[in-house]
Amino acid sequence: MTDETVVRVENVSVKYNKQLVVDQVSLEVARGSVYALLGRNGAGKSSLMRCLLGLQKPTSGRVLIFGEDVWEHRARLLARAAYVPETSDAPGQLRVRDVVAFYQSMYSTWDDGAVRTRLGRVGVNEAAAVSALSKGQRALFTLALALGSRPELLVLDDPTLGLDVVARNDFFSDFIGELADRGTTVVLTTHDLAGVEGIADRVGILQGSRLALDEDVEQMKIDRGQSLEQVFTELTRGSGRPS
Amino acid sequence: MRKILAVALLDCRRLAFGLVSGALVAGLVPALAAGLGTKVEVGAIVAVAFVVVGISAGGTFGGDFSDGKSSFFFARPLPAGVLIVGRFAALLALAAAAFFSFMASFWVSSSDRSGWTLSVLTRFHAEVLMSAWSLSLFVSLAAAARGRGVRVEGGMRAMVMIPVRLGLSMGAFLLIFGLFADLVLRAYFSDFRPIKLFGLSWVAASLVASCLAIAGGRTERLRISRFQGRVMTAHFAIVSLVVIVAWIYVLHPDAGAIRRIDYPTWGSPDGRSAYVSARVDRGDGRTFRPVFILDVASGEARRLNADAYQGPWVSADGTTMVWSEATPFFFRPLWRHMGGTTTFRVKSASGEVTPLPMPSRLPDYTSVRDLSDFGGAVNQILPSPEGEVFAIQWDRHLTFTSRSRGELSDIDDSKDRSGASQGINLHEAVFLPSGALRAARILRDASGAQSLNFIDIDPKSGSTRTVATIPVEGPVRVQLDSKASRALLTSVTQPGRGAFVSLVDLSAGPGGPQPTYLLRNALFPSAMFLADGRIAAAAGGSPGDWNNRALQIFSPSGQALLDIPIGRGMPPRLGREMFPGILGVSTSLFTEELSLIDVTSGAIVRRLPNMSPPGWWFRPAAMPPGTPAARLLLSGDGALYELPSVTAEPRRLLPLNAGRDQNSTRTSGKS
Repeated sequence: MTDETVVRVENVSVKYNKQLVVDQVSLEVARGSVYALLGRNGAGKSSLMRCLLGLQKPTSGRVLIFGEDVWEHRARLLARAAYVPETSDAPGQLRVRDVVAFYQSMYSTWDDGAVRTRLGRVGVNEAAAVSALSKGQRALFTLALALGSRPELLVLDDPTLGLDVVARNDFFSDFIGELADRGTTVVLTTHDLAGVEGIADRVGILQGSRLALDEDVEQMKIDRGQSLEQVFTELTRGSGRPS
Repeated sequence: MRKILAVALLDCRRLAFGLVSGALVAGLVPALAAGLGTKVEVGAIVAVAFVVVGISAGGTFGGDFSDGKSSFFFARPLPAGVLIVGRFAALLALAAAAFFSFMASFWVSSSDRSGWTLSVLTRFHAEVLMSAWSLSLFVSLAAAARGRGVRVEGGMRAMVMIPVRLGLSMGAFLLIFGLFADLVLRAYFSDFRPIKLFGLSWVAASLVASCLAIAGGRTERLRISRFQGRVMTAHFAIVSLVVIVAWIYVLHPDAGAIRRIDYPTWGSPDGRSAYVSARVDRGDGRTFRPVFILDVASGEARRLNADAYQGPWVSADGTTMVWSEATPFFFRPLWRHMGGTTTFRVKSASGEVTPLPMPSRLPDYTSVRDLSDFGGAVNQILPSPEGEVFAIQWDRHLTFTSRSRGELSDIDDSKDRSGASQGINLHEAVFLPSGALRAARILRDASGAQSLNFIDIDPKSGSTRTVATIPVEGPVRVQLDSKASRALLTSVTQPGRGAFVSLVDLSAGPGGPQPTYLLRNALFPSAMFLADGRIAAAAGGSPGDWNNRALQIFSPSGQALLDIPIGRGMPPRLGREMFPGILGVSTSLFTEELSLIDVTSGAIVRRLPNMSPPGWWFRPAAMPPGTPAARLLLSGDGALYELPSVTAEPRRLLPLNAGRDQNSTRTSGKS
């Protein structure tokens, strides 16, 4: 593992009882790069994401971020990382500003002004309860919170789920592009292949719980002469649950 | 600290409004109750409020783990310990807010402010709050871990199984705890409630299980579920192991565990065995005093598994023994409710042990209000010589049962409307060869005059026949001779007044017998029948003449035969006739001393310093003189000895290991 490797997944497997959902996956994510992890529903993407952040212990194997085992040192390592879950995990009864205050207490690098500006830009009322936000607002609110700590590593689990086309395009072009420009390492899963194709440096495709492909996006397109969507379709046809 | 406060604030923001509002409404309850003419305990309302706070806070904490929502905490740089401490801090803050809101509302609404004080809060409230929080957290966490969306097949089935599994595990725990921890705890704590320890153990285990599950499971529900299950299983296994080992060790001491004998020790009527209530190297020595049956000749002692103060009781011929088997109190009400036999056992001459038929209304315990305060329900049992009929004294009843025919008759003193009966003391009763029980009871007439009424009771019918009625003053102790034809009456010394010893011939018939006074105006007298029918009586002088201690010997009809001066000291106390014609009398001056006195010549044949006759005050049993049990001695430091002959050195019997807790015993000194 080089100094430039921010995330390293080593032979990670995840089993729920006897059901194997991630099988011996290994991958690396370089500093400042955007890594897109793709797969059909039930392919094990979310489980791998949780392992990536020490939220879940792999059944076997380990995950290193910033060179340390994330399960062992989660609380310290996550001061430099942020996570955007598939759906907002903030308690619905809380008001937006209460959640912001909680996040502010968690991170010494918190940029409160930037967060409030971003919330204002997407039209989130700070006095509103989280449960009162629309699905799209909640997704953007969660993203704004994640960015507020100015993370070195951002892990996003299907962040555009529920966003309309315009918001989705804005998301990829603005946020992710901006992060990449700032040197933030991004690992994301998504079903939005078109959106991710333009920003991802590297792509991994999970098929039948195994990592079927782990390549540089541009190189892949040149070598295979196919778009990302075509490669994905070819690799995952007949596996996983229909989206 | 900043992160702890941040976590605590989240809970406060979510729950404070509802809980404070509820507490404000609850504060009106005392005033509303007073308006309806009833009084409500403020402490009880606060306890209920704390239960609500605990359930709310614990439930919210556990609920945060449903549907992977716990990533809100675990995807932050927030250690699990800080999360738990923060939630606990929130619990305390919410409880404080609820309490002060309640008190404020109570103060405003009620004119009676006697309960308006901080001291309304007790340790009980802290226990209630913690218990509610712990159990609510455990259950809600379990529900979140096994709830909708869990990544296993049969998620709903798992959800339904939560209460089933919880109930089964609690049932198993209750069974183990009730069976094995009950008596062990009672061996150490006379007033501790086993059910409370059971509850606290569960609360503590569920809290540990939840904390470990949160720290070790994080967002993975299967792992949370496993942690909870494993901790509770481990708790069950550890507690089971501990209580079973404790049960085996604490409640089953052998004779080697005996450290001191300073409780009643009495011999069997045949003089071969002694029943020794001993202090052992476990238990607190007060509530746990196991009884050992000592074969005096061989020195072997075997523990009798008996309840405290519930036996053994032995028939006059020594062949039948009754006691209450020490089974866990915890399940006795249920056992009896299900038709099980009582704990009382009878051992016959053949050695066979069978349940003793007991009165149907007699419980094995004195209280069923809770599972904490049991005591022996039987005062005394007297087996008949052949071991067929048993007189059982309990509450204000005297019930006769037969081993083969069950309950025979019952005399209920509580139904004696005249209030004349003061009950019968079975210690002072004797079964006659005819099968009747001869006993004495105190009667008082309307003027308050008191008399001692000797009666024969027919066990089959419960009918009584008066044998004699003797006017007496004050409390009187009665001793019947082995044929129950004579009675020795010993009154109790009252302040400033002497007491008497008198002899009554019960063969003279009703109205016939008159007491023959052996001693009058005596201080602390004691008296006993000797084996040959003579009578020994001793007293510590008379009021105003403390130094004139004497032992007197009387003929069977009560004529003075011998007057043996003893000299200065405490009032002499009669022991037993240790050898034929040799009486052991405690004649201490400053230290304990036993004198062996020849009751024919009046000579003191030996002095045994630091010795006393064991159990003399409890039951001057008519053991045949010279038998092993009649020759027992108890040293001042709690060791039991046998005196092989008048001149031989005492032989130490118990404790087995000399020098562990006792110093060497001085047993020399012949007169």
